[in-house]
Amino acid sequence: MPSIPLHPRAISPSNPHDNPLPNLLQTPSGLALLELQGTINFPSTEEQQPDEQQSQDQDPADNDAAPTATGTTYETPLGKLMFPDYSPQTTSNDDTSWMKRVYLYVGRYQRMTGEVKKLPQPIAVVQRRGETDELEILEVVKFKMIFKSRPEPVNDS
Amino acid sequence: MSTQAARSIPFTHTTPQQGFRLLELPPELVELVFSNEAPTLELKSPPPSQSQTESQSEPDEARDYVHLCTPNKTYQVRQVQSSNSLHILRPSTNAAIVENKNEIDNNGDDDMDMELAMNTETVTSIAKCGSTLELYMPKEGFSAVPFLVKTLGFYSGGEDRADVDVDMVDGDEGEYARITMNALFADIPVSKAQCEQGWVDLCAFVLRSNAKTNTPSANCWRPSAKVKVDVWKRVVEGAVLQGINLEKQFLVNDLWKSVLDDNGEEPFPRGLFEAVVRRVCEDSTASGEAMQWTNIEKPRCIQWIGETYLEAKAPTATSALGRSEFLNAWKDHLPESWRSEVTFSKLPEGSYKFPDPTSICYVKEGDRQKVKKNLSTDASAATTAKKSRNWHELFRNQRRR
Repeated sequence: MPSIPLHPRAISPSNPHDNPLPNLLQTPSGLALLELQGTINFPSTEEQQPDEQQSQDQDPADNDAAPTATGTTYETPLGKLMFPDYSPQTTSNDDTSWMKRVYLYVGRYQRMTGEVKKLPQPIAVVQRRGETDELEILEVVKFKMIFKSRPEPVNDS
Repeated sequence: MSTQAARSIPFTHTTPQQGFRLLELPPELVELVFSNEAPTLELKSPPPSQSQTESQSEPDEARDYVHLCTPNKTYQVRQVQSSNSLHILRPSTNAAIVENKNEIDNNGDDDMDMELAMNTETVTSIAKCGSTLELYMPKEGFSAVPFLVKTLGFYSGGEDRADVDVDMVDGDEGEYARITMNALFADIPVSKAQCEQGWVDLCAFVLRSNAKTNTPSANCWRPSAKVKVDVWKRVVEGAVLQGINLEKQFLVNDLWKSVLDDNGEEPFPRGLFEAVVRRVCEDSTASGEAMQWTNIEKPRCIQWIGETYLEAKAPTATSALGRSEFLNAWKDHLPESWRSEVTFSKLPEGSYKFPDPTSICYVKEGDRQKVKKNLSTDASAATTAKKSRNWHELFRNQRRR
């Protein structure tokens, strides 16, 4: 098929849960971007192993299997995100100084310091519309969290 | 430490991951996407015959290239790989984690055993992208003309008439033309507006051929320069005969009647006639609908017939025409009152050259580009060489001297 439609709106916008991120990073669908120099290596369980291998070995485009039955979806804890200079109550909307510092804890003893940056060009998150060959823009994201420094060891206080 | 006060947000990784592509949007596209009646965009790749992977719907699977088209703009899509990984996060309740928690504990990996169970506000990574898609529009933009030239049948009148069956009985000719054009444009990797522009520029038209195939290109034609000139000549003569002022509003149907033979026979297909009129009239759109009222745009018409006549009669330097002969012929193809406006400067820039002091000939579209490029590269070579830190370029000029 030579022509593939790309719809500007998602047919079924996802309803986000309460979004714990700072307002600036919140989008209608709740999606946010996090850029990491390097990859996260997961504590692999037996069933996770094949998935893991696939997603690394294959072309990213092949990795677009829609989430299978919801029963099999599970989350692996990685760590935590922290915005040390941001507090939802006191930080005003035009104050951007908090953006300079974001912590990403990996596990308990490693911490990366990053920042929140405005994207030079907004990025559209595109997905397949259901099981069709059509595409849709799920969200347009304007900011990202970027972590480009090495993790530093920290004490879990 | 300020971190004490800040809230920490548990961060998890969801399995299985979802498939997303990230597409950078230039400002004008952001505006379009956020506008109230945002149009559906299209990802177009070259016709399937050229790409082997037509079954793959993912845009970057196509071998050659993919263009993103808005209704009137075309962008080239480029995949940019990054060594950084971009994770797409989404807020989540940690219900899924709790179920899984025992399993992790069994691994003895108590690093991960954090205060997740108490905190309901979590963010989770649902996808990882190693590349983004960037959009790029070359300065000169994209034109549908080269693609149309490849796709459309070449109509050179006369000899082809035998195997082209004009089927005028159908009342839904306009409908048929529109469907055929849309099917054709789906295979042309530029935006619809640019397709229509190219269609008009080429005087392309729909004519059902005897070949009962479903490929739209079998019924779409682009006339040769000679055919276009002949049709136009006939139009001018007809208009004079019937007293139709081409500059003022006229009914296209009246003009059509004026070109018919004495016994009402058509000298050429009506689609071709309308394509030629559309090429030189104001507000030319290629809707496929039959035209109603229109008027000819004088400067556009003068330029077009001059260029087309030259293309028809003197396509190469060897068949160059005498200049005054050309000017007279050009004038003869225009309504009487326009004759005085004909000069060489009315021709499109670069469309002609003077092979010797008395003659003129046509320069093809493709060759014009070359001429232009050569000029600009020569002029800019010096400046780029100065800026460049490449030794070969820096010293190239000195070596010549």
